[in-house]
Amino acid sequence: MINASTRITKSLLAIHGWSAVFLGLLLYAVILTGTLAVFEHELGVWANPPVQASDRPLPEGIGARLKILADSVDPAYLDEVGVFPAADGRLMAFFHTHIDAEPGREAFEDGTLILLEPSTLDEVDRVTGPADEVFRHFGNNALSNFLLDLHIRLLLPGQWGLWATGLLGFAMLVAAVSGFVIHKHLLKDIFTLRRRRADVLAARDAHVIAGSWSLPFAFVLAFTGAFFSFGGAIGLPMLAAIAFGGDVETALEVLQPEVGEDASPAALADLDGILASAAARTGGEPQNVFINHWGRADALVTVRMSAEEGGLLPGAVLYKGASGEFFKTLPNLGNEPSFGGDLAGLMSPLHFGNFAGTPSKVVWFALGFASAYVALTGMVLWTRRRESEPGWERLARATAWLGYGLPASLAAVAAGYFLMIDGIAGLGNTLLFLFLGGLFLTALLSFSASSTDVANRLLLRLTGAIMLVLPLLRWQVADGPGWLTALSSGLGWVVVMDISMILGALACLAYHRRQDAPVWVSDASVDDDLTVAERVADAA
Amino acid sequence: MSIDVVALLLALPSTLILWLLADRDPKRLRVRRLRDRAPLSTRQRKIFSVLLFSPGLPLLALGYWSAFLIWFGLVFMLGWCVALILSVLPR
Repeated sequence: MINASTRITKSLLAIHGWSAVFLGLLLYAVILTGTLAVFEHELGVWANPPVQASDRPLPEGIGARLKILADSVDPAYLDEVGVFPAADGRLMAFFHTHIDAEPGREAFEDGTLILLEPSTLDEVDRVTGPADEVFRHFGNNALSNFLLDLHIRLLLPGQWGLWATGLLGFAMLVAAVSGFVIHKHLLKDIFTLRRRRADVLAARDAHVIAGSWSLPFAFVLAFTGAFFSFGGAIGLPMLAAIAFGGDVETALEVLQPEVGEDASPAALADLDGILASAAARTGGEPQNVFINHWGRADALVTVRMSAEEGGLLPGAVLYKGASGEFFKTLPNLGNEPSFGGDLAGLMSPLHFGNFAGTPSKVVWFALGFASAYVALTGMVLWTRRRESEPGWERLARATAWLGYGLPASLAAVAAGYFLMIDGIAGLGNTLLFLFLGGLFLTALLSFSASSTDVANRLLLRLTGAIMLVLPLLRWQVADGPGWLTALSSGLGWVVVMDISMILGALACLAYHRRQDAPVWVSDASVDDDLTVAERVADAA
Repeated sequence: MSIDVVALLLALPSTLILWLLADRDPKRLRVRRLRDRAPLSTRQRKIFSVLLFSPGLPLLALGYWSAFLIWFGLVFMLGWCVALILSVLPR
């Protein structure tokens, strides 16, 4: 035990509180963006839809089309070919090769990325260069990608972002466990939500009720999120460091099954037939396909499948490229099926909630929303109870700023996207600057308002106002389809997202907190002793 | 009918039980001073709690994991909604 003076203790307490709130704010940002990212594909279609939707991720005839495209690219790029739907539903075909690391330069992929309309398989555009450049070349998925980058890496470069979000995942686990432990009457209180009572009781109840009902999923989302962040940032490099002298590329190659090296030329078998065979064999729908060593006798085709109906684990099957013969079912991890591999395979559906299409996404969105609400209300409670203490008023204001300013800034990014986008042309760092500008502007509004409540109302209305004009900007400024055109083109999500934006905007504009003078009561009277709490509340 | 739609339908009986549990919850009634209706006894609440989760058992037994998760998540979200709705309804 260290005997610190009162002054030092107070300073340490302030540092402790500030750092906790800072972490909490970042966690809130990760949860909120993750909640929106559940509808990553739907947002992509809404923001920049293709001419006509396709009824499946890999449309019929894609195999024949790929063979034509393969003749038009540098033969070196047939080393590996990946075909997958982008967030907006268009197809991306990446013909590429792997360039080994050299002193002073990391390994990278170099190739030609071709964008295809999903319904006609017509080529929209193509670009050649290193992978990180070619994927940034197109702006059609910029909005979804920005949201994902914010969620996965907090816009930080390299592995730093994964480290940060991984740590935040563990912080969320700690918050969920500690919340569970300190709330002694979780089941007893699970339906008790006091309204029109002392402000602190109502706010505490709202936080506890949302936290209680979302608790099991908070565990799941936090654990799977930390797994994804640390799996990439620590797990794979550690495996590579231990077994492959730090060479991640080699580690990944060894984990891939091989059919035996044979560089002799051989035409690729009927790819459409392989896709049909994979669907029949697994009961799932092909989601994407990768072809290694196209045009060689040792070509290998990997077809990644959706889970079969009612199932959770997505599958993958391998075919010999030259003969089209089924090779083997690919386990989720390694080369042989294992319990650990199945557990690892569960992480993705449990985190993204995309295992059963729209129904599971809606449920996961609601669970994510509840978790974001719990994170924000927890910090608001924590800071506002201490608002009268030196330094805490600013922290309370900062909490309110990010709580309400982040949605406003994200809405501003969407508005900026519609104002700037020109077809599928890339946007560079425009969305990042818009986002940072939005945060700066909302900070100014928040800190210059007469009170935290006034700032909150202002930011909420700003969010509502921006969301309300988004459908109009999408339709008129970004030349998106109108509702009738969208519906006749199979782009129903455009209409659904427009309506969701309008309803969300109206909810933000209509929301107002009761203007009763808040009554704060001591912790002792609200935590355990219900009778005292009720008495205090009644007095208020 | 898709098994995932079945999961959505199975959430209906669970919602009814949730509503009953919430409507007659002893602490909620006490806090809101609703003395005109009798709270559920501990035994009744235990029985209803078991019934609340029973619609998910066939999904588990038949191995429909995705449908089970949809139903399970829905029950928790509907529980939150029921608590919110009952808190704003007039006494």
